[in-house]
Amino acid sequence: MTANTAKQKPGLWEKFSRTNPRRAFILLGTGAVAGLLIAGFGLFTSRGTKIDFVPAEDVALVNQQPILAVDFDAQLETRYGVSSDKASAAQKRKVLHDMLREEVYVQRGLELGMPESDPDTRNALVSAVEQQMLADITTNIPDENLLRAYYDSHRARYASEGSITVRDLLLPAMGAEVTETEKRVNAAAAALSHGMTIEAALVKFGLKDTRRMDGEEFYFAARIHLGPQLFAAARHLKAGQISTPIKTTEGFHILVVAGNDPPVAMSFAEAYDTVLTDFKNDAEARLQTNEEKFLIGRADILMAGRYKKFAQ
Amino acid sequence: MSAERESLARHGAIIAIVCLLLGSIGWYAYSQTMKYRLMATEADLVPADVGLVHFAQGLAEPAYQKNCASCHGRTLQGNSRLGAPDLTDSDWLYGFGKVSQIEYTINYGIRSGNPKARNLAFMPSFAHPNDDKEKLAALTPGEIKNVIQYVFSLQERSTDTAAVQRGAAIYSDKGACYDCHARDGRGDHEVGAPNLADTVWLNGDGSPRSVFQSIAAGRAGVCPAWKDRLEPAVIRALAVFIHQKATISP
Repeated sequence: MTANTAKQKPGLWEKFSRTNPRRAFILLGTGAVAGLLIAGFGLFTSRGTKIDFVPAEDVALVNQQPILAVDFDAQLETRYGVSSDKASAAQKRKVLHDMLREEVYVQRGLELGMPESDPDTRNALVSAVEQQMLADITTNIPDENLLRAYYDSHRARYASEGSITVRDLLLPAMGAEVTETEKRVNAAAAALSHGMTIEAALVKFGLKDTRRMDGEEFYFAARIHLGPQLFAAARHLKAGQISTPIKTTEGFHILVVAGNDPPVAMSFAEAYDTVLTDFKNDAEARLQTNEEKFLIGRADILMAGRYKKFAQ
Repeated sequence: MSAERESLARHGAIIAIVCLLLGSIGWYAYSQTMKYRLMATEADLVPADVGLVHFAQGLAEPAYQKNCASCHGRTLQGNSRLGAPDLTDSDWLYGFGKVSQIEYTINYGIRSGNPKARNLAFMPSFAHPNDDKEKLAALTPGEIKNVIQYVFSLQERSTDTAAVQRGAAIYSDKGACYDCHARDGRGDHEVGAPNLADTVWLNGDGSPRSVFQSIAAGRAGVCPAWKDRLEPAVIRALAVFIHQKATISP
């Protein structure tokens, strides 16, 4: 009798020091059901997580949307030129009122779906998403070896802007007397090459100084001022050299080059910040292309028949 | 004896675990309380609270090394190759070094693409056709050299008086440099235009060649917006940390 009592199994909720598979399953099942119930309740009644206190970094919560203290301080600074600790109560009241007003208007705008139609809001959203995508590239400084390799493979990009000083002398074409004009301009070019001063040549040969250039100019400016044809002729001449006559619709030009500093290749150290910017720009462009592909691939896009051919 | 030892070891282990647990909970509670205090205090009043400053520095140091040191350097002394300013001097580009101003910059960045970023101006390139909104005229190499002489005259190191006069005229007229750098060349903290009258160089070493490069090619440094990447308390801690470094450094 005593032995039987000793062999009796303990109740389900007795002896927690001993493992009881049945009890374990019941507890597991109860936990699972409770979890599912809580999740279901949250899912079907959810209005988002609601908090009843204002986090320390915020000034207020408007329908759970924070108004940041840092924005509040910046508004005070911008509007009144004072920091938060020095602003008067009236100033703070005014700024707070305006920020609350803006927030409720923004929220109303969202309710009305305005971001869908307002171009400025759409642009701001695109910009914000791009920025988020590119944040890692923006914040990281790539390894020096990577940058050097990039520099080596794009060396042509890294040069100073050349500069040139040219006087453009023109002998206008004179109708049927082109041959005569040509002879005269050839003589002028020869005289200039043999040391005649520009002023003397202007008088003797009837040349006209076009004054297209304003002394020494960067190559890009000289190209604009002289035009592509004359610039192409001038850029290969050295200081002191005179071009052969160049025929244009205006007549014959002689270019007298007083100075020419062609672009000089920049060393890696000199071009470092430009290399870094270009490297990041390239990386950003690649990332953006991939992200666009991903987002477009993920989107359910139905094209109207007549536009399908443009969607490639 | 062996059973006794075993029991002692077991009890010791339990006590150690409990202590560790309580210690962790205590540290977490302390940390959260301090973060709350850090955020609940007006940003510009934090430096007056030694306890908060100490806590902020501890919180900021690892975040700085992880996120900021790659540009501003491990010792905060900047990198003139990148145009990343020295954070240990008292020469501020934006604002005047108040914690709230530094915090704003960290939150939204500089030319970061964030709509609230500090983005009012950039240094245009004067050796390229300028088709931006400002429609600034490009300058000739000679004009740039004159402007450099004028800038050097503000630092009392110009070498050509006539060039200084020509440069002053370009500074105030064709180049429109005054628009950002101010009539007296002392910069504008609203738009982040550097002071040209001091000897602090944001980009390059201040040699004629490097200044020429800045004017010819332009500059537009970027600081990312950290608002959505770091928690607010860490951002404020970083602002306090930088403010302290700048204030304490000689």
